[in-house]
Amino acid sequence: MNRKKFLNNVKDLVFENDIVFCIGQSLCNEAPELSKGTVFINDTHTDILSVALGVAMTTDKRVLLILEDQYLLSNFNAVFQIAVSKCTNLYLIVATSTLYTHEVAQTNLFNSIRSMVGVLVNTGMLVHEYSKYFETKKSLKLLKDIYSRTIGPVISFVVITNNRLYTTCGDTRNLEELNTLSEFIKDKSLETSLTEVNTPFFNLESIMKDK
Amino acid sequence: MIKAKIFWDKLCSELGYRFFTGIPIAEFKVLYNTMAIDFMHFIPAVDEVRALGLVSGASLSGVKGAVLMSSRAFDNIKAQMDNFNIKYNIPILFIVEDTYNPLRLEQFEISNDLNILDSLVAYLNKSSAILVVKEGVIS
Repeated sequence: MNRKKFLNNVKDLVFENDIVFCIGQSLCNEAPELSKGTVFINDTHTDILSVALGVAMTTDKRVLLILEDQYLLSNFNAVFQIAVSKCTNLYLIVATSTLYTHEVAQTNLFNSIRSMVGVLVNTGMLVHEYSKYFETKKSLKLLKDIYSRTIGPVISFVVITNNRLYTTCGDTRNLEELNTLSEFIKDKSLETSLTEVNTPFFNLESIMKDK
Repeated sequence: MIKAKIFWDKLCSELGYRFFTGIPIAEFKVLYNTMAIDFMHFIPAVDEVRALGLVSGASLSGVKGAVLMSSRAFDNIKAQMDNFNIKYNIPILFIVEDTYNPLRLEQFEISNDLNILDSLVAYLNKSSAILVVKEGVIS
């Protein structure tokens, strides 16, 4: 499955009021609008994993991160932070192309690591392999059902192939759009896609009350 | 000199900061010992960049937060600060000890309008600031 098809399929996995962080130039340029709360970050030198964790800790909505394997490797410190956070509403989908960038067909270190799954399991995260589920619409529907009941933090891998870059949407979101996203995150009246099992127990509401 | 509990009371109750993260440093020992879980939350971070990310994320959700760190690590977070917080105008407060490695504060706008401990407040932009806590100011 190529990257473009993967991104179109991800849309079927996202619930209406989910907060989605899409990171990396190729993913941002090709991804369709996934939900009202989607943010595209082109710049891979910024650590968005911990920003998403900060959001997940302080919201009752599902937070989904879509990133590439190279970004995961370069921000691996944040994985430890996510793993120990036990944030039940945080989900990561890693598109594994094993390339540094979509432009340079040079393999990164991802497949050279003896067991990436082993490393991640030992941090305390739940690790899933979703490549097969992304092949047909029927299996994707099945996955969505599983996904709605999975307790985070969970990291899932989908093997993708590189393709010519199809620019279908703009560059990184601007300040105004980020403010809109912030309003969306703050809106407690929106229905959350989380079920009883994966509702975050990390509740800041109680400590936000006046002393 | 000010009591650490009064410092927290001012920051949490009056100014509404409830979400704290950072890397423990010896100079802030008194502050860590007086943290109270009933009105604030402290998350130990892997490093300063993750700490900054966590508070930025909380800030997007409307929760006011601060990073406690040493001034020595300020260079480490510069890229993250420029590429995300300043670019998208995400407010952040740094509570920094700079006794052994003074920050070059002359490049920032200095004020003491937060009125905490009479400490210096250096404004990085209109929404982000560094609260400089000198050694021995808090007991």
